[in-house]
Amino acid sequence: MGALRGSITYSKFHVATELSKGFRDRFIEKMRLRAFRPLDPKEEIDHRAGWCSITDPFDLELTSQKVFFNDYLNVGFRVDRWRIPSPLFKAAFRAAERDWLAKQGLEKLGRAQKKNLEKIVMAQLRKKVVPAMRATDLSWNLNTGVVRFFSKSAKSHELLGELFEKTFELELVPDGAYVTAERRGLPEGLVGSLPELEPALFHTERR
Amino acid sequence: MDRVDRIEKSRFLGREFLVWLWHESEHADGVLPIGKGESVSLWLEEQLTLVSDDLLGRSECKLKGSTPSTTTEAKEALRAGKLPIKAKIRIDRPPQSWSFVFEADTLGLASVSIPALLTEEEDEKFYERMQLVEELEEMLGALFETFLRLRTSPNWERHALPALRVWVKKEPWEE
Repeated sequence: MGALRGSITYSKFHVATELSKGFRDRFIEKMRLRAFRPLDPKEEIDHRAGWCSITDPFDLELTSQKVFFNDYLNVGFRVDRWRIPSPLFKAAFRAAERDWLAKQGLEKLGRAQKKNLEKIVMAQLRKKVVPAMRATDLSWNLNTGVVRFFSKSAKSHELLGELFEKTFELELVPDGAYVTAERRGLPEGLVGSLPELEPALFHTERR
Repeated sequence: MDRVDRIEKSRFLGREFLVWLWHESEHADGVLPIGKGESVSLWLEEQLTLVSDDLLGRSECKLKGSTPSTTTEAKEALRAGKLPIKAKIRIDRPPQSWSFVFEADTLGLASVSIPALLTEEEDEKFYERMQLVEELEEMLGALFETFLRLRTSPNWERHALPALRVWVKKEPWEE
């Protein structure tokens, strides 16, 4: 599912800002700094998010031509995550624990030794597997300030919010009743009264 | 009250909007004005989810079928105090037609089916897709605006809410 093809399922956000002159070059520069970087098994992090081309998640060389579609900024939001199956980790850890205890002539691991061994086992397993990759389309209408993100996952929204703010120094505001009322230019008094309204009861007159 | 509070405290309006859309879709042949002299045909179809949240927790009623909104179960759920949170809706603006799942709490859209694309050029398809999505959002936005103007006017308490309560009490075949 996405902006370019497939089923259209998305979450809508708003960016409230006037874009200043030369923003396109600045945005490209900033996006390059936050372009996706593949995970390294030696790192202790379990996931990483970054930008990629909307047409190819393996294309991490972002250019104006790949990102700007007239008045839209289109980019892929890529998250790679290590997924080591728990039974595999447990089995590998038990084997490593046996070896280590035999070598050291010990009967049981201490807490710190256990943590350290877990890290070593995890790093070894990460060398043997490929991280799970997920790329999600993002399309930002630069005229209206509407950002459509083609995922409904709350976890993805959280990661997107962090990366978007770090990259563009702009806040993503989720769409909803209040925001829609604001953006349609309804009178301030009307918009201001919305949070004060009491929910209606349709099935009874009694509260 | 900060902006986040205002957003949260207004969230319930999405469910009320969906009740109102449902009611409107069953009257005047489902033809709804969207401003500038234009109107659309709108109806609920295929899936409808209603919930109630109270001290005992969340109670959910998921209905599927060709037109679940016209079933006794749907009306019964409304009478039990449940409100719709998700509905599949179709909007016709001849010759074009959109269908989508509307999520009331966020005013979000899912599984949007847009009218057939006219362009054959790969580069142009994105613009046409977005234009059709934005047209759908604009139609829904106009309907939401109509609802909010009514909801915040004296006519809501005087006429609209009593009419909605009468409709909730009636069985589908009594309409």
